[in-house]
This record gives sequence, structure tokens and C-alpha cells, in this order.
Amino acid sequence: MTSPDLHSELAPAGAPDDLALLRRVAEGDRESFRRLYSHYHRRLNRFLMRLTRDRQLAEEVINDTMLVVWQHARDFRGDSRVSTWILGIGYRRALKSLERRRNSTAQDVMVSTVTLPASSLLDALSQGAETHDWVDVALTHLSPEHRLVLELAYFLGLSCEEIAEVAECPVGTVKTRMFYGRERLRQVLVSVATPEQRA
Amino acid sequence: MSHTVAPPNCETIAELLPWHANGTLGAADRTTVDTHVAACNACRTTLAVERRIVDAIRAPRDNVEQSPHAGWQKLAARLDGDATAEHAVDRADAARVNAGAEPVSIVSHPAARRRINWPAVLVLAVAVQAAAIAVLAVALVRHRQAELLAPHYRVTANADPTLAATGPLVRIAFDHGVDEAAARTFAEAVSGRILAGPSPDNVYTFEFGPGAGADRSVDGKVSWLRRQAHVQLVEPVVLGPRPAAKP
Repeated sequence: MTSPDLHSELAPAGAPDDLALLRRVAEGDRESFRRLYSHYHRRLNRFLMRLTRDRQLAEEVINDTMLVVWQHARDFRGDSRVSTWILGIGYRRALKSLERRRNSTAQDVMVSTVTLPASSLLDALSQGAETHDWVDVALTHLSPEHRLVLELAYFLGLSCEEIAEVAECPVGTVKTRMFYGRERLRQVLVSVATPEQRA
Repeated sequence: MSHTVAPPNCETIAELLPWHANGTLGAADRTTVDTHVAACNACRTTLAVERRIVDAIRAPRDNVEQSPHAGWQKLAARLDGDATAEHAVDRADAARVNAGAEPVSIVSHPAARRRINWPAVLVLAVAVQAAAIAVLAVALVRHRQAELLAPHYRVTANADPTLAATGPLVRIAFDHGVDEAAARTFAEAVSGRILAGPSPDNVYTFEFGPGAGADRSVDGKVSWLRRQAHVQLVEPVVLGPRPAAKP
């Protein structure tokens, strides 16, 4: 299992760290900003492509995010990691994109009302070569807030506290969203992965 | 007396499972979960489901890695001062970054803002303001002088000309083929003059007086006028008692 942790991807040896780059960006150094952009483009792009499946939209969100970084680099107080700060900006942009998309493509889903034993779901997920697709499809049926908490935790490997920081909400809210998000994910997965169980 | 802590139930453990699966659970909680799942088949299965989901989400996809170059070119174009860029940044994001931050232009860098020499700008603003006040003062003085030098007129005419009439009055409605010159000819033909008119409906007030045709009576003049082409209506005006002159 390879975690694409936003924090753990190391910069090339000898390269200045994020904080040093951000300090220079705060002084208006365009070259430092270009390096910071390149550094975060890959990480944000992988995350945003998962969420949007739209290359153009992902790039738009990245650029909007990085533009806020350029304009507000000097406001960064160092209370959190640079990556958490940038991800927080990206999170809000992504949330808006997901909400817009959800409103424009809202559709009803036949979701299972059957309470399937976890073992049956585990069997289905273990057997299917399409497990990735099932999970991806199921995630699209979550509310943007629930989905983002799951994506931040499962895809980016963020802790509960880090997600609270990124989403600017209490830890309790993250736990609640995680609880209901998992519930919903399981229900949709039952429908997708075990169609014979559909109510 | 010794206190024994009750082992966590499945509900408590279930809350910790996603964080165990993504590897961010603290050491103590991890031990708690590990101990519990070793003895609880249901939670062990749920943890396995969580891990399957995490594996599925993190599994590599076929997406072609995008180069940051094209994106950077677009962003650089926005930074270069295209203030009318299509994709204006939502200020809410910026506001959230620091609630106390002043609003900034779409692409300008705050460092550039800080280079502004504010004292000099303030001095310049005050100078411009003083110049504007001086210009206004001069304009005001000239205006007052012009007012003092200008001749003063007073209107003494009565607003209602019929009140000043001394002779008999008639109202005549012409059709719209009669203009003011023609109406004057009619008036002269009955030794009268136009006292008022025309109204929007081409109605005039004539005052009869001495002159050519003065020998005719008022009724005769009215009768004559009524017979003329283009004349639609002729009626004598009967005025009420005049108000007494004020001392």
C-alpha cells in the first residue's frame, strides 16, 4: 500500500524546503513561486483528478489555489505545515467544484437498504477485479463534505486532526463526517459490488 | 482498591478503524484496536474492509501524469497583469486564509503593495485636496460678484390677463388650420385684440375695444365671428365681480 501522503513526498536533495520557498514567495520571488508550483502541482493534481476526473477542471482548481498562495504567502503564520495550508486552500476550491458538479449532475442512486454482514462485503471486495472502480463509483455518491473527509484520510493519509485543520472544522465534525461517509460508502458498495443484494 | 478500565466496545473501536487503516492512529489507540480486533471477529472483518477500501483508493490509475508546465504558463499569464482574466479568484478563500487581511487586487503581489511610499501619497492627496478647495473658493467669489453686479428684475404683470381687461371678452375656438397670425386678423376684424391664447386646443380670448368695427355691438361681433369658416365656437366671457383693490 503506497500512501501518496502530501507531506511525505520529499523535495530533491539540496532543494530548499517548502517554508523557505514560501518565505521567498512572500517577497515576490517569481522563480521560487514557480518551484513551489511545480512541487505542489503533481500532488494536487493527483488528488484533484481523483475528485473531478476532469483534467481541465483540476488544473483550474490548482491554479486558483496557487494564486491564493502567491497573494497570501506573507500571511502564512507557520501555525501549520506549508502543505496543510496549501491543501486547505485547495480543499475549499475542490469542495466548491464538487458542489457545483453535484448540483448539475445530481442523480438518484438505487442504494441498498439491506444490512449486509461485513464479511460478505469483504468477500465481494476481495474477489472483484473491479474493486477500484466500485470504490470510485461509490465515492461519487457521497456528499462533497463526506467524500472529501474520506479522500483526505484514505488517499492522502491525513490524520483526523490534520483533516480538521485543512477543513477548518472541529475534530468532532471530522469524526461525524467520517462515520456517515463510511456508512453511505458501505451502502453504495453493497449495491455496486453485490447487485443481487439490492433491495 | 483497584480500578479496572472496561474494555472498549465495538462502537468505540469502529470509530478508530479508518484511522488505523490509514496508519495515522496514535500508538496507544493502535494498541487498543489491535487488542480488540484480535478477540473480535466482527471488528476484525470491518478493519479488513477498511483496508480493502484504502488499497483500492490508493491503487495506481491509468491517468497520464500531467506536466505542470502548461498550467504554470497559464498562471504566469495571470500574474503578468491580466486583471480581466476569466477566472477571478474567489475572495472568500483569501479571506479565510487570514480574516484580517486587506483585500488585494486579483493578481498583484502584496510585496508590490508594500513598496508604496504612503507618506508621500498622503502629502500628495492633501495637496490635491487643497488645490481643489482653492479653485472652488475662487469660483464661489466670482459667482457672488456676478450676482451683485447683475440687474435685478421684478415681475409686475398680472398672471391672469383677463383680470386686467376693460372691454368685453369672448372665447373663440378655432380649428387647427388657424394660426396665430390668422387669429390676429380675426381679432382686428372685430376691433379686438388677442388677450390670451392659443391654448393647446387653439382657443383664444379676444378683448373687444374701440376702432374699426367698433360700432357693432358685442352680440353682432360674436354673431359675425360664429359665421366665419374655421371658427368652431364663440362664447362671451362673463366675469364675476372684481375683487376690491387692496389698500
